[in-house]
Amino acid sequence: MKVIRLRRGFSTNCSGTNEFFPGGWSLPPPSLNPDQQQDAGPRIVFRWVLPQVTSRWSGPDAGAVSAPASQPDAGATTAPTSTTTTNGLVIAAVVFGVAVLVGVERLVRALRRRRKGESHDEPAEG
Amino acid sequence: MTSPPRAEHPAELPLVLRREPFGGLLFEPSTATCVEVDGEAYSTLRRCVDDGWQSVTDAERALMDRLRASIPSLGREVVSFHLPSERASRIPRYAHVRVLDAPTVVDLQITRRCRSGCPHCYMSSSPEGDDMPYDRVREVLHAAGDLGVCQLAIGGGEPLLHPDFVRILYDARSFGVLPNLTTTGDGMTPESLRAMAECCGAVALSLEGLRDDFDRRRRTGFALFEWTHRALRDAGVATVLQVTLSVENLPALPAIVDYCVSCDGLYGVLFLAYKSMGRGAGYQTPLSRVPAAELFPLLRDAFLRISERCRVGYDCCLAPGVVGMDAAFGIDDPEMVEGCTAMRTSVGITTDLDVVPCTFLSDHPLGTLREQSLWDVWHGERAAAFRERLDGQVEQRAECRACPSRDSCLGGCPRWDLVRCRARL
Repeated sequence: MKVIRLRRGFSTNCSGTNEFFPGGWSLPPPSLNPDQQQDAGPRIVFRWVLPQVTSRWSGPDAGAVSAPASQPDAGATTAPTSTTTTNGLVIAAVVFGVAVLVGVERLVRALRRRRKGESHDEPAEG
Repeated sequence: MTSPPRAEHPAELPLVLRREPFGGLLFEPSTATCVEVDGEAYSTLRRCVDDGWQSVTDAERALMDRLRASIPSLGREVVSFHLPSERASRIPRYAHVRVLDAPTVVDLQITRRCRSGCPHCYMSSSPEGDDMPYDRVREVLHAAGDLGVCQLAIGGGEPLLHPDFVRILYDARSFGVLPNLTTTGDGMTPESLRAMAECCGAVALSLEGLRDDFDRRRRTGFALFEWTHRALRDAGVATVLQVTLSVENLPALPAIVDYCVSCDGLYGVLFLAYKSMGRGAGYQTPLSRVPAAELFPLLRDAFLRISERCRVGYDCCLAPGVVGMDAAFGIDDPEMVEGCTAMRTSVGITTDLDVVPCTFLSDHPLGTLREQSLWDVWHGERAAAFRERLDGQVEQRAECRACPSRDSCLGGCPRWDLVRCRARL
């Protein structure tokens, strides 16, 4: 009547094959006690931002990456800035810039047309 | 300040007691402790459960004391056991591999959908990937619970993107199976975080590089990784960092170890070996190109540093790379390293309901749950043929034949040449 062997550890790896956390080899995790975590300092306050747009993806899920962000009163926590966010800002800036240029060009053309028209409408003297 | 969601664990999962060819096993889910006992001890345990722990002899009491040292909950007055239905085992004895009557770990791929776009993804997951329908997932969970499967390793794709992710976690527990998972954090909601805190044994985040290097690998980015890690920790979820090693990121290992050591509240760090498959085929170089004399000191140093803060684990595919650590650290258990567990203690199930030895062998189905039960596939001819090849592996390789660790290491992954052992310097 005997114990053959003992294994301990949660299987998380995506291969599904064995992983082991040999209890004899390592120390217990330091901060898994919920009571200790109550006093662990600033915490993340939950606010969820949906969606963040990226132009690099196509298909039904395009632009649906949901990155969580912290609220202003969340202490030292900072919102993650993914590459998709950066791309979105760059694209928005480019679109805005092009829109401004087009708008300015149209305004100049309109002013020119108006000036031309006004000169045609001038009554002939004489 | 608003309080973060707190983990309020529902009713505890029952212990699992299973008969096995060598005797039996007892699994305690809150610490994922699995104790294998011989036939006599199993009979004693079984009788104690059936008789309500009455009239135990001194010898039986000694066994209980021994078990209680590893499983304190065994001493509770009421312990709920799940007893799988008695079935006739058809598992033969092998020369080198030990095979259980049923898997203890099922790797369940619930979706192929993922938005991270990792160039090294071995599953070739994409934003258009399909989900396993919820009803099918529930059937798999039912089958797993019926066999006394102890743990699920939920993967994908990104599991959080499955529309029924939260239900799946609670269903797993309702069938008596402990769910764990690997995620990027993409798509996490307060509800899914709460479900992970209440249901999961542990949740893993992958980490193959830091900051810019991480950002080059994942569209979701390092900032989301760190945020997810903090959110899991603050919700009381046991969090594991999974580090997949290749030739290319091996020089960064010391920095990755520094980072792991700096993380508060980590449950463990798990090392895996890069496999050149799926979209990741050819993206990097397997560790087998690195001489063991170079790799071993790096793994040893990583272990020594990280183990001061949390647990350290090695996927069984890395077994040849860590064989010998027990001697180096003065550990007296020669079975501390465990080789390939595919079709011995674990099995994979894809979104198509194909049963595969592991998800790295997804092109090698041994059966399908569309037409067969999990029990029938596990005890089927194709599964037996896979085990015979694995069993014969250590006989075919000259360096394995003379190795004292061959029956625990099993010669490494039967499919991929992933890592060298000390005998193959």
